[in-house]
Amino acid sequence: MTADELAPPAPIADREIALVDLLDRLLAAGVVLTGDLTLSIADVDLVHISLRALVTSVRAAQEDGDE
Amino acid sequence: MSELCYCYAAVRPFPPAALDGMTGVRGAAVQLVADGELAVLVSQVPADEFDENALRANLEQLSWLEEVARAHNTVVDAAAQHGPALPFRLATIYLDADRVRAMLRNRGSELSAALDRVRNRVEWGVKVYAQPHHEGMESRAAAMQTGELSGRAYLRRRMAERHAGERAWDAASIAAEQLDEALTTLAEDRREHRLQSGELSSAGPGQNVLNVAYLVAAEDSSAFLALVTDHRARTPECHIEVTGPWVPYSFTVEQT
Repeated sequence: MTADELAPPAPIADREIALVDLLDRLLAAGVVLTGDLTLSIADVDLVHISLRALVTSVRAAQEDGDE
Repeated sequence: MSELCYCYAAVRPFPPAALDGMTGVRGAAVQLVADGELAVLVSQVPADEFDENALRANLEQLSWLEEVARAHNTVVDAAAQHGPALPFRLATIYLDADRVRAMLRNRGSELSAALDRVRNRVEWGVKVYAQPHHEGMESRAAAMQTGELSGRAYLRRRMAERHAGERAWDAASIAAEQLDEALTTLAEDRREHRLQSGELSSAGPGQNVLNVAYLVAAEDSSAFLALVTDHRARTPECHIEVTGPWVPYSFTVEQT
């Protein structure tokens, strides 16, 4: 364990927020309003989308790393 | 080109000067649409990128999703500097400012109550991971490199690794439960997020056994973080990760 881990975390603004943590909040939390367009978007499983997009990117990154 | 109204968060109205230079999605200027005691931070976005069909396709593109998500969060963070902020879900879009005002009139009392609930509070995210056991992995890799591994030896190793993995999971689950219990006493509320999938965390710190957001009074944050540090020291068998402080994204709706 490093000293950094023991210190209180720096505010988010000072660190790169992991995309997966951000999407957990932006896609699965937050106030849900119908909006003028979201009627059909509500049909889309947003969390599923984010996960699929992330998994795809993780795979791509791993493949790049393997080369 | 026609434009739509992208909404970031509900706030109590503040002087528009505070918005000077603030930009949102696609670098557009952020504006305040107010109605009575409530206001919404908005910016204009191009319809050809944010209407229903375009959104459906764009949400599948990680680079697009990431750019919009980070811009959204930046505006929400900036809004929270001026008082309580209630973030909206990504891609909350209205045709124009009048439609936003109509929404404020319809949902005003609910949004007001939620704003009061999150005032002077922050969200901390805590994740616990079972540590992958490096020892077995390394010895297997070494054996494979030197070509010493017979089929039977390989299977034996795999079995041992799996058992060690199960033990690590059990230990981390117990540690996570204790940590969660301790943090919940300090927090005002908690929300569970989905566990991050093995595939996503395989390159990371191990298998995710806890992913919870806590609503914490701003003045209790140090005590909250101290508690995490304390548990970290006592449970070397798992990896504990903290994110925050977040604007209380996970507490915008009262859970019954």
